[in-house]
Amino acid sequence: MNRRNFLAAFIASGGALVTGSAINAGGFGWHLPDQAMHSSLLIASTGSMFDLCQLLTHEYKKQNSLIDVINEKGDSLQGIIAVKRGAIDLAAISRELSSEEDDAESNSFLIARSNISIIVHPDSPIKNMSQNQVSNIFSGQITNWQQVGGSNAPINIVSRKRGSNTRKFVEDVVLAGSEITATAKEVDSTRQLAAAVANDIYAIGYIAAKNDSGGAVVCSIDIDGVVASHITVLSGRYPYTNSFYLLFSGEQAGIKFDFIRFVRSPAGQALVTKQGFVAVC
Amino acid sequence: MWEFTHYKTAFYLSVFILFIGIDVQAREHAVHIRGSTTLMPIAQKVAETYMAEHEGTKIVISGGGTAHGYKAVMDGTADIAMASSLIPDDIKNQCQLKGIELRHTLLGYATILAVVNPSNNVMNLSLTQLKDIFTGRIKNWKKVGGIDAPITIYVGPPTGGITDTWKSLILGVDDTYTPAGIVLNNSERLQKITTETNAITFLTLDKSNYEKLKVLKINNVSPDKFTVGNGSYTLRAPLLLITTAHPTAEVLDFIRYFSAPEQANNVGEMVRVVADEKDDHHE
Repeated sequence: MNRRNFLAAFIASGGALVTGSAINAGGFGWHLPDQAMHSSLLIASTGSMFDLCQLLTHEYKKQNSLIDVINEKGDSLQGIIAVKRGAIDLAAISRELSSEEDDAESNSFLIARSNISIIVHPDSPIKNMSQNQVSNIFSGQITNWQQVGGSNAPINIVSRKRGSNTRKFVEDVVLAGSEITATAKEVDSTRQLAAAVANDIYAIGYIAAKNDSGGAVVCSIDIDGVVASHITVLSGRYPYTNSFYLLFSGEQAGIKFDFIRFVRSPAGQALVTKQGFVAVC
Repeated sequence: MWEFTHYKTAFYLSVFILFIGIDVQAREHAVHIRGSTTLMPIAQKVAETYMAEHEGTKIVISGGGTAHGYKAVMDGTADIAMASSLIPDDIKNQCQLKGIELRHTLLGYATILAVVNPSNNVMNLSLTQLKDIFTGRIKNWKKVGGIDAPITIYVGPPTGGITDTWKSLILGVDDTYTPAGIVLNNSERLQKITTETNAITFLTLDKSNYEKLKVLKINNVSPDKFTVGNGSYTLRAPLLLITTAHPTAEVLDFIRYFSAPEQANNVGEMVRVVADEKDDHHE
């Protein structure tokens, strides 16, 4: 099994393949051609960070052509387990480590943030809602605008389809694990979603700030009185903020740490911005 | 020979770029802050006004608790830790092993309230009585002037910060909690105290919750800005910003801004240190 297959199998199995240690994983590198010249960087990225990591590793490789970079998709927990077992070098994760996960060997560097905006029609009288109201609307418990201080009219929810990273973020963070109501109208892209909200005064939807709304005019509402802006996302006070980390275990040295330095440099952060995330370094 | 000169030029050029690079980076360096959830809402407001007044700066804040903050400063994943307790011993030991020196700035204090149900007729406890209750030496409210009823004790999980500070104030280094103490988080303890007549616990909270519970006087002193600021009310947790010994210019600038008296509108429930106690020093 080569390292790539090993990683793919590892991610697919949720970490069950390897019982234990860095020594196991290290053994898989022996067959690589010209070991003295080539080095490799194995990354497991959570879905919402995969494209960003592809772009970052692509640019990084331009300056370090002898490094083989392998970036595979997995979820945050699988990545965390794989890093701790030494099976991979870096995990790109979309949440903070819990206090149990944050052991003495763990280093988690914040590399980007993003946020979800809750959007309505520009003529909607609703400019602010509590987190509770937003969650009750998207889970289907509040169905009329009157219940949140609007006019007596049904709330038309527009949502991305299952499989969208933005939808997953809404279900994880905004709905605390519940699903978006089945009565929601489902669309394929952010552009379609923004267009649907821009054309219906009784609609509500959500967009990731990093996605292009295609020029549709919609209005982002404040949450608990906090406007979604770069400043409130950096301060972390805007509640629907997501943080993205690169995690590794052990010494701050080698290719993995060099890559993190690149990601946090002005050049790396320019790519973070280019990909539509909020730069944090 | 051409190659030699070429390399030499490239070398000087890169040294030149390196210096320019450092200069530009130094001014654009973001400040990453992690730690105490007690201090976080205050830090967030101060950071927002700072960023609005200083275009191009980035003050990036996450929570995670005091212990998480200390660790982040130690491993360099954050520039500043927010802390609501002094440096814990395990962190102190790790710092010594790694040769890291930490520096702290005292911003002020969070008031820790000893709270009971509003129906409880006890108004005041001495610090000694409070210690005796939490260690289990006093088990009944009638021993401290209350009705004949067993005392139910709620304590916080060992996550550092306010819980650690409370524990060191009440137990010191030698005592331990009574095994009867029940461990719950802040919101669970708040909920218990508003519904259980014989319960006692500690909390930090804003005034909006005061009517649902009774705040006890300690040694006949009520907590307010003055008694907490001068230390005559003894149950208080230091609110600290922790850095390594030689922080960047941006970090120092933000800490100066945070410590300035002009931040009065942003600091909310934090009590500023009264008079001459305020000091920056090395740990």
